[in-house]
Amino acid sequence: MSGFLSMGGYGFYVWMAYGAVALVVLLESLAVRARRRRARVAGQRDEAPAAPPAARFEPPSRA
Amino acid sequence: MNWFKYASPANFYPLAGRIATVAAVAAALLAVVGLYLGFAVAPTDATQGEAYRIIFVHVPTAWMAMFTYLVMAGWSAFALGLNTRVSAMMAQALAPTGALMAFLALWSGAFWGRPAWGTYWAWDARMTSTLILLFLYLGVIALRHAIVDARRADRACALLALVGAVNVPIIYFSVRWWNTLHQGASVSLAAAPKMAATMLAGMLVMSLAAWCYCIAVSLVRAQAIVLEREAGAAWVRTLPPLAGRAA
Repeated sequence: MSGFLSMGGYGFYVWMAYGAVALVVLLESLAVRARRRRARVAGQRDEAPAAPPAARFEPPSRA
Repeated sequence: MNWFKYASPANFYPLAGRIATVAAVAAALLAVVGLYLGFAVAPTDATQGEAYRIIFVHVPTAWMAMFTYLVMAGWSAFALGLNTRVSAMMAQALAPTGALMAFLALWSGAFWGRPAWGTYWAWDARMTSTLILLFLYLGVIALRHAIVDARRADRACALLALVGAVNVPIIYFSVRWWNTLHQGASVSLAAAPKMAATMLAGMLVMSLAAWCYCIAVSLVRAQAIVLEREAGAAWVRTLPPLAGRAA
């Protein structure tokens, strides 16, 4: 097992690469599922689609 | 079959969920097979030793970073040309996954470059153009957050995504156009593979796994985006309530 983990002396490089991929896959999967759940709960609570907020600055009117 | 049926958020939502489930299961199975091939079957490389095994995540993430960008640009073109909202939501859903794939390609490349070339980073043509790809993804995401009106953000992001697509062929051909550090293509449709068959098989299976993963995770994100932008709509309110802590 330690022979496998050492990867012929390249263990640090191999596992840094694979570890980052595993971490991203795990966290991204959990994050999108949590976001979908939040959006579903909020979307069923809201009365109507949120209207886009009014523009903060009105364009100058042509005289 | 009328494809425009799925341009309606209410019809797109359940379809996306079904495809995401199938893709997620396929990604998991393919990853198990791919990792088995990559670590247990493929032989040690004659010159690079075990360090070359980074190829089984490096090439799939690099391919998906480029391919996801093209898909995002394609949905952006639909969004601009047909003015279909779900197309814009698909483009929006792909950007974070593409950015993560670009990051992982650069990261795994750095940890391969150190043992293989003696450096984590160089301003090599392919590495630099892949870094620009990551910045393009981040630019699309940032632009989205900078524009409050979702429909205006759709159009601005679509335009940026389409203009940035010119970078993808530059990445792809960079190893031919400029003779810098990065090696040439490992796999070509025009030539026999330059590696052992089991190595190639592991790389291709892992690429399929990455492809399925990207489909699954971006479709779930697309579902979330649809719900966020359709909040309060009748079809959202009639979805069965979630069990558990949701309240």
